[in-house]
Amino acid sequence: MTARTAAEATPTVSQPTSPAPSPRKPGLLYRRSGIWLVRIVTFVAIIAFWEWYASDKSIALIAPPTRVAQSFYEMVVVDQSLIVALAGSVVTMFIGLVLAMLVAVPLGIAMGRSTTLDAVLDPYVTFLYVLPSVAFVPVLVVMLGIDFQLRLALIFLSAVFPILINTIAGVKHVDQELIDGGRSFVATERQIMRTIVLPSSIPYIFAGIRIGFSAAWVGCIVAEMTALITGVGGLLLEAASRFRTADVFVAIFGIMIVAVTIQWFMSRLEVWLTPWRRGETEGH
Amino acid sequence: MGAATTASTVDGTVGGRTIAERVLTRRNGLKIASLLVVFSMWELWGRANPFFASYPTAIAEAASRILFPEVLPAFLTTLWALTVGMVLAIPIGMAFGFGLARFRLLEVALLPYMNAIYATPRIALIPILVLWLGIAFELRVTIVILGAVFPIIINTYSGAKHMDSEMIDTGRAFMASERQLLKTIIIPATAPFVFAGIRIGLGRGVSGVIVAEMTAALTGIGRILISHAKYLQIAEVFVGIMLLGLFSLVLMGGLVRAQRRLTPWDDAERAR
Repeated sequence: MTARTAAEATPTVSQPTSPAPSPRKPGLLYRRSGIWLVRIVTFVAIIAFWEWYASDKSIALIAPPTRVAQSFYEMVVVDQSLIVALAGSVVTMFIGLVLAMLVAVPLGIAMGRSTTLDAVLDPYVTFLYVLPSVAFVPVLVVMLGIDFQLRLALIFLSAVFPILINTIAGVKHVDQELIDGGRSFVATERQIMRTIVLPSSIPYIFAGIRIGFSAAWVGCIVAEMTALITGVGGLLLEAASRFRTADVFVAIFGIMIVAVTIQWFMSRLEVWLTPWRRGETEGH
Repeated sequence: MGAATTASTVDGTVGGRTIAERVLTRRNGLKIASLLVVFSMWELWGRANPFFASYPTAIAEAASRILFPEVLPAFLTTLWALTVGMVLAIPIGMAFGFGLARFRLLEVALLPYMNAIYATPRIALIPILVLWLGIAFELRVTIVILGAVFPIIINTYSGAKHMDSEMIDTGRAFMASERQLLKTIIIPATAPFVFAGIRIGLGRGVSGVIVAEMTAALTGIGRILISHAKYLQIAEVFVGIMLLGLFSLVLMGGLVRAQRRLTPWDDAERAR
């Protein structure tokens, strides 16, 4: 029951360019040029500090940015090992995510509409939602072997519950008066579903997919690093076991780039798909 | 909400319904029936394929054997790392979050990095952290902090940033001092967001510490899961999983309850 409110868990991609209303001419830090100036200075400072810090440390412990850049070039342009590994991981993640969506959205709508179904399934959904899906890795290894399926299963398990929980919450929060209004105009169940329930729960479903998307990527990396040793997680682990720290950083950046792209893409998509919420979603 | 505390009338009635009636609702009846059906199906199927998914009675038997001598001590090890990590992560996260919201320079300079690290799976950092910190207690605490601190930072930041500025203006108009503003407007308005951040952070902390234990540290509940799975002792693995699940349920339920009590002005909906 209590886990239901977890629909609040909205990973916030911020809108850093919303300036406080100021009567004066916008200050340096509120102008586009100023913002980029500060960002570039910060970036250069971080890289410079890192280079200086790493300069007298062992290359096995921390690689300086110049070495990381060199590795990046080798792994992206020369032998393309990063690209190949990332592509494998990302494709699997998408398959798992789509499967999770195909299960979670219809099931969530059904559970939101039917109190019986909700009561029957709620114990498992709640339990599995709060349980860290990592805990399943050892059991899944025994059940499925260390195969493509394991990665898919963990991605699915990671993504399906956030989407499900949010869909249920969304459908349950549909304004009852709207449904009553529809009923009094003798709308059929299907019409109510299509014209009232779905549109008003889309923001919730979307928030769930956004969380599930990120969770799918985490699940993919976890499966690759704890059991499979393939994909970009495997690449990372292999580099670490040979103390090739520069390659480790490249793999981390690869993982990070995918994660950030997912976040960015989903927040764009959300703005585009639910235009009526523009402005009101500001605070999320 | 407060029904449980007022339930101590002589005949045990609350709002005209007896306690029995409150517990034996249709909903709870359905839940219990569903659990009975699923567990007996699991039992039947599990007995036929014992190495695949075990079955409830075997899990109960395993629990009676290893819960107290083995699983609980391991669990306490995990819990200790989790607690230390969270105790450090909450103040750090809140300080950074308020700092980012308050100082525009920090916001412009650092927010992109905060968001990027927030989005990145922390497990990717474990191999490098092993190189830097070894595999002892520090590693697990660091993983908890890294998992928990960014959700707290980002949520505190967005709570403080997107607060209703009219309230602050009103406060100013009534000559509130900075301290009064902070105490009576900013903190209450931000608290639900901070709570949401702590809840997400705690979830990430739990899974982070388990991954660290499974892949590097080999202690705690993570080791229980891994080591029994290695010998195909699936029932024992499920003891660990069940304990972890119950713990997470209690933890999340407790947090939601604490949040309702501490920030009653927030009607659960709003923080979405």
